Amino acid sequence: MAVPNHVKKTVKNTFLYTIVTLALVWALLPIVWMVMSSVKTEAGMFSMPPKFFFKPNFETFKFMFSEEGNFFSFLSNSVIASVLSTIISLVLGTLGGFALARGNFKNEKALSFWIISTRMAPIPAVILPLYLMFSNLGLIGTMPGLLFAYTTFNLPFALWMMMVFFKEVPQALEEAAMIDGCSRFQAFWRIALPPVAPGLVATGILCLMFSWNDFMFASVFSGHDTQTVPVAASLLITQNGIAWGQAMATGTVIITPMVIAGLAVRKYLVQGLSMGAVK
Amino acid sequence: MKRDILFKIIVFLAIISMVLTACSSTSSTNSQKPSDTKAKNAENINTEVQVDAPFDGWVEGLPKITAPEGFDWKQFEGVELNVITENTPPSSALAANINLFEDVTGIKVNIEQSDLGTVVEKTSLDFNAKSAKYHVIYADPYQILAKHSQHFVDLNAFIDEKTMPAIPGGLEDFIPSQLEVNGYMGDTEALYALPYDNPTMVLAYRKDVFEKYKDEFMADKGFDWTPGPNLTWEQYYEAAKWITEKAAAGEITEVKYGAGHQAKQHDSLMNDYSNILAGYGGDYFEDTELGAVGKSNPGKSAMTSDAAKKSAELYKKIIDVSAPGSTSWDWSGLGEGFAAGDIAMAPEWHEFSSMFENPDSSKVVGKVSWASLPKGDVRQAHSYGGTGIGINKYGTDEEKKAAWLFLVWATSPQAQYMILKSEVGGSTPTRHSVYDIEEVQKGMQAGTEESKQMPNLLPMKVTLEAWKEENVYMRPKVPQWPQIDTFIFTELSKMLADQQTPEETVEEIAKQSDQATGN
Repeated sequence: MAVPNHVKKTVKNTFLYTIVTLALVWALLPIVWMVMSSVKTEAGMFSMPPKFFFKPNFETFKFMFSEEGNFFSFLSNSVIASVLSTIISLVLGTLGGFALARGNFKNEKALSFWIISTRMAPIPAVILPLYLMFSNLGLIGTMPGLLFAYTTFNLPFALWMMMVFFKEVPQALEEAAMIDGCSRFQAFWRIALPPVAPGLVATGILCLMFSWNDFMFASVFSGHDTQTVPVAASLLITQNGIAWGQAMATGTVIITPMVIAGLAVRKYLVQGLSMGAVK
Repeated sequence: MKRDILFKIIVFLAIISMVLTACSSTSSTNSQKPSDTKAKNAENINTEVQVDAPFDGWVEGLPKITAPEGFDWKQFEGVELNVITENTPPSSALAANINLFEDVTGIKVNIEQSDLGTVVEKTSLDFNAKSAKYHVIYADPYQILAKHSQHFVDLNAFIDEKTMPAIPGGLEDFIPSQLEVNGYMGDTEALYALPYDNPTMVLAYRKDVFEKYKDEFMADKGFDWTPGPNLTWEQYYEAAKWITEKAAAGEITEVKYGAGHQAKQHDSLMNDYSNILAGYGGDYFEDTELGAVGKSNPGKSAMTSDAAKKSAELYKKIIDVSAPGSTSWDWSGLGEGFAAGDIAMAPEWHEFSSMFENPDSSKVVGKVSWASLPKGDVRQAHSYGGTGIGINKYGTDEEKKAAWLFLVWATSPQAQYMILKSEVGGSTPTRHSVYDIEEVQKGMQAGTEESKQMPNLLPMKVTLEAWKEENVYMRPKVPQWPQIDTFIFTELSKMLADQQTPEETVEEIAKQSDQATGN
């Protein structure tokens, strides 16, 4: 007996929705759990069975942002270091990426590969030489030091990504613009850059995420006054136990800006990330 | 083109190798003694007369911080010191009260706290770069001091310098075993660090459970199960098993399990097992003199001994009847499990007492007693986990002298007492003199007002006993220890997961240990 089409479709949809629901639960449950725990008391956090409806308690957040909690200082360090590093990487990466995409010079491919290979190097292999250089330059524990450190891993990535995006833009458009009177820079600025804007946004968001979430470089190159939010989170694991309430609240604060940024630019993010996959 | 790329990669790797080689320092021929330890105004100082330092709030009965007459406490004003330390209670207490030191000396102190792994990494980088980003170092005896003693200032240079402040109460006021393990490396010629904190493993137990079911247990098993120096590890196992079975049958409702352990694949597992290993007369190396000042070459492993096999077998039996969470708990997890009220006994670091007596984090407030750990065939052994603080020798003379003032203050009985009482600290002092004052003596008695104010004092009576030479267990202080520690807890973890027998476990530890040390 043949199964009617509408039954087939219903079964298929049910299956698909089940898979999507399970995937969502798998991905979102830990985050929801963390956010809920951040507004529970410590006793409520570990009560069994867990309560999904309760009166929220914002004492942990109040403490964190109080003078004693000092969290604002960690947060501002994170914002300054990640945003500035992203801006520097985007500016230099865009110019460098354009040069690599359009330049016609000896060993261009080798140079491109070398640039991205610095991003592939394992962090422990580069930490000591970097530490030595930073130490001699007096950069350890300073904000410029942290900026340099973040830029060492953001810039190669931005440069490589932007090079790929610029290669997608037909060179003939810039040549036509220059015939019409544009300078080389104007051709770059007015003709080549606008089409890669989604790629620029995607690269920026990824650079921001890399530096915002970084722990390794921040833990080594930051100092007493320049510690970032991920470093602050690690301080909650003490010799005498874990400050669970603050850990949950810190986790919530860490993910929130990235979620908001991701949602705000999701259209560009999808466009940008798919640009390099056209060919 | 391919050859071109390959050539560049090789050149790149060669440069990296050269930089790494240039940066690494396996040994140093520099002397650890600073070139100048004299006070700035040395010629105007009368070394025959000691004068109290201008700190406020002296506690009666404790040695005061003093300096020779004419010493200017502000002579290093403007110097900035960076202190790197693990995120420990004494560090938090010092950070919260650092203005006391800064106001008197004019020295700015930045206390940077991290997890121990990060402290080890940053300290190693700083030493290898011969930099002095960090002037005062949290010198973990095993992970930092044993490997990097050549990078520390020999503090004897300051102790012998009469124009600088002396250690209040003298070196003899420190607990001797702690001064040895935290301060020296290889011999007692050079002193690299002063004792700073001192967590030690003792037994936390639920007195309500042990009192209520004492007679029933005695009728069943025929011995008094009250934790204390007479209880053996075999009897501990019997008690843990009995409680776990009775709780499963619903006959005991106060707890769910007889015992809990910090048996995660982690440093905590080595510490937990070491209590039993040393109790049965075993140790990790044949050389039995490694636990105090340490040695650069530990010699052959002793893990194939009968004591090692027996203790591994017994440890496995104990974990099998303990709370199932034990194999995923380090000391923090165990502390939380015990504070949740599920466990009747737990070998735990004594400074967890403040967690157990805090109503915000514990359901067992007022129900906890502390006892020495059970004994083995040979002795009682209590793992010690304390640390010292020392001075980076690559700083300038002025920074090193300023750092000495900080060490004198931070390890003084007065500061140790302040740390003990601090709301953000609570760590127990490393000084004899602090334990002798009346208020602290009262704090060691359960139920007193002082014990409520300073809950970490509750386990101190047994902890003071645990620190005695015959009762303490100091793991081998050798440069290879971090690697060997990893072998130990990895193999023990396999044993607890039934992947290998206790005999195979100790033999594997011995084999890997000998390979690592070249013996």
